[in-house]
Amino acid sequence: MSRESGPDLKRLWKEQPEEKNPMTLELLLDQARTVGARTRKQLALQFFLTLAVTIFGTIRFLDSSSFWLWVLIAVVLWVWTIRKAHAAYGIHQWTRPGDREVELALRDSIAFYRAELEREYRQAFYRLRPGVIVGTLAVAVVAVAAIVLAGGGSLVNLVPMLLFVAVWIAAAFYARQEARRIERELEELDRFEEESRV
Amino acid sequence: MSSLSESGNPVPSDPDALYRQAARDFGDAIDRLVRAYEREADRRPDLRQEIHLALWRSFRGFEARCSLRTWIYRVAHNVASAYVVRERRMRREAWTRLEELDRGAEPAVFETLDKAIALDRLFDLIHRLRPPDRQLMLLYLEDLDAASIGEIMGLSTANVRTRIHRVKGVLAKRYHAAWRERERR
Repeated sequence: MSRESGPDLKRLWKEQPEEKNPMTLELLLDQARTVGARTRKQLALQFFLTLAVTIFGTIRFLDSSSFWLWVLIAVVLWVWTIRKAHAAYGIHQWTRPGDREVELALRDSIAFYRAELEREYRQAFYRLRPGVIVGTLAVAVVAVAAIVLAGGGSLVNLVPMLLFVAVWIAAAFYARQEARRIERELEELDRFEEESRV
Repeated sequence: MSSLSESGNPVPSDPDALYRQAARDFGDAIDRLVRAYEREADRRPDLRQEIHLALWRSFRGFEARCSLRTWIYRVAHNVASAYVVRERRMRREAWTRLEELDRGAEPAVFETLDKAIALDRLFDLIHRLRPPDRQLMLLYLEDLDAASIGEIMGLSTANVRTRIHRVKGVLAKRYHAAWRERERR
């Protein structure tokens, strides 16, 4: 550290204590293999459980009047299993060399940060949209129920529905706050880039 | 493909060999970067692993159109940026701009400039910065020149120089004044 210019921060920075276990390719591949094996096991278990439930249910409900209801449940089960398989494939890909990571190196860090913020912003709005639809329906149901109850029923019966509406309002408010926060970050980034052009 | 890396070693063409070289030559720099992006020590291994995995996966596409160092820093900073953006939803950390830190700096912020304390305070300052300012500060501390920083961040060299001047100003206010005070005593 020089007396004239103060502490040499670059040296201080580079001489900070190091991590005890440096990462190696072997360690990394070992971790990737562990994740891959765990995913395959979970997927196999999910598949065989779904198959077993489907066979058992089909035998059980074959001559029953609820057969078509059972078919519907089985379809939902298989859709869920296929979704899980798709997610597992994503994890499997995660443990292999891929093109998505090449993108990480080809995009400069400011452009990448903007893309990440915009992705978060879209996600915040996707979370908000179903909330708006469900909430509007809930409000409509409450309104109809209120009108019906006004004709003689008790308003106490409306409490669960009102609670549901309150939860929806809170969730929508949170999603809106989240979107607003990301908007502010995007505005800050605009300012940063604006200054960079000057 | 360029034949030599920054360390003077030949750049291998095999992705696994490239990763080995990256981990060997830049492993410490990645560890410092991880510490600058993640405050909590017990969560650092996750980010560290994520960066290393992304690096290993990325080398399939390395065609030496940029230097190995630029490639590694871009991947590492981009993975770390995505991580902090994702994590911030849960943690609600307040970020600030470099200029705001500059305005609020108190010259004699440290009574003693013990190395460990100085480093802790430096990390505290870095953790408060928004990702673009944070990247600039980290690349400056890693001793990269303005042209390399510009290439990693996507800024012009002249602009990086102006911003580095501000970084130096903030650091001088917070450290050097306190350092001179201690030297006088």
